[in-house]
Amino acid sequence: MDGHMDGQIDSVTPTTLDEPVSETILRDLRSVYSKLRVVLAPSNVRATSYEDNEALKLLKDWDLWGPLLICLILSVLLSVDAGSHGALVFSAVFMLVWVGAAIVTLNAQLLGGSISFFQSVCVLGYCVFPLVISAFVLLLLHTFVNSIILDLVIVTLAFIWSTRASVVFIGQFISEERKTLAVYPVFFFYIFLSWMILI
Amino acid sequence: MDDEDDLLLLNDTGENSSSLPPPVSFSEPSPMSTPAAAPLNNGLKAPPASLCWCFDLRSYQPYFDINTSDIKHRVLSSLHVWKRSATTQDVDYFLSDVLGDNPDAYGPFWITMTLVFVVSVTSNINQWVHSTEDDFESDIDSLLNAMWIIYTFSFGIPLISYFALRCLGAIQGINFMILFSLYGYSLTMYIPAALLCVVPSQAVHWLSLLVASLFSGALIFRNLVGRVMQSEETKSRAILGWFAGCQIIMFLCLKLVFYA
Repeated sequence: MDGHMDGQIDSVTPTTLDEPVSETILRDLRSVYSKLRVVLAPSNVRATSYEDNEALKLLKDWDLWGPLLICLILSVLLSVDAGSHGALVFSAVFMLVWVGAAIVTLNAQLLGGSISFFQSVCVLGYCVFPLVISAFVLLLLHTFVNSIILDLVIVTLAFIWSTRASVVFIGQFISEERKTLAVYPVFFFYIFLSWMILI
Repeated sequence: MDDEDDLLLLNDTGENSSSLPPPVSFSEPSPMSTPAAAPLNNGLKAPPASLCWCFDLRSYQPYFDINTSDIKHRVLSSLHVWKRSATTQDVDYFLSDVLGDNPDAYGPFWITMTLVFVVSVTSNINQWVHSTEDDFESDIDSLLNAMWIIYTFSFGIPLISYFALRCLGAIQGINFMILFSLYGYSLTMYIPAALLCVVPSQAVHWLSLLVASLFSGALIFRNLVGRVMQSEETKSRAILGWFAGCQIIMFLCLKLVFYA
């Protein structure tokens, strides 16, 4: 599902056709890992211009494996926490991530942003990762303490972390006078997810 | 006046029906930012003559051609229900002065979404306060309920009203998008009201939702009454009754389903 296809198989350059499957999977995992690092490192997203930023350039090479993994992990974590409602929570979170990301992207496109659909879905998906961490921490924490204030603090931190990277990303495709309109749904998407984690 | 297959998206504002713009080919780039006052029917609105137009992003783009300042202005004006139109001194300030010929879908859609979220969160907090730790239900149900109830109000009712008004022939200068925009923006007042419903007191719930319903109803009424009254008296009475009934049902739905 790599967004980057050459279409030409040259005998000089090494091809990926005859490599072992394990290597292919590892390569994909490595690329997922490198993108995650970009999203998680807060110092990388400060640059205002997209073209100048090496880190964000990496995200231009989109894939959907990372978001799928992240989304599955989040759904499983939350459904474990939900007990008897598990199946419903799993499907709701799974749908929310994909439909939400699609709506946010469509909204940016409708506002006149020159953004590629899957690239934006990819970035939005990767930026969910801090929330996954917070869901995991909460799950562990609930075996010891059950304090709402602590939950709230952790999820809020994760929410800010998630929003920062994606807002910078979406914001740069939209003209200045419409930035707020495109950024509000992004913000809303993560609020929704944070709320799902909190309950 | 307009074709059967594209009656929804065509800008049938009555008075300029004879001077519809010629269809322009879609390869033309859409204008990035049109000033708010300028009408948007510059050829972009005419959909291609097949069913595919509803899957084409470009057929929706005119309704998202709006800036942050316009949205801010529209949301704030939707709360000024008592204002009169500056030019004609009519009560339809919102439709004639704010929306004009330029209804948008961004505001209604995201106002509704915000309201869905706020309602489900506050109703959940209420349930949580009133319940013991064990019988606390999952939030998913209230979220799904809020979603279908509130979207039915903001999308379903304008759709039904539009077709009913069309069949009755009691429609003057209103297309579906204008009705949808009006209903969407009328929900603005419900958002602070729903936030206020965090307070776990029945009196506060009734009062805040009632005030919000009055604001919302007043906005819809003041803007539609002039246009509806132009038809026969019995007809217009029935139509106004329908709008009022929807408002009351919405009010009771919110109160009884989410803040019982």
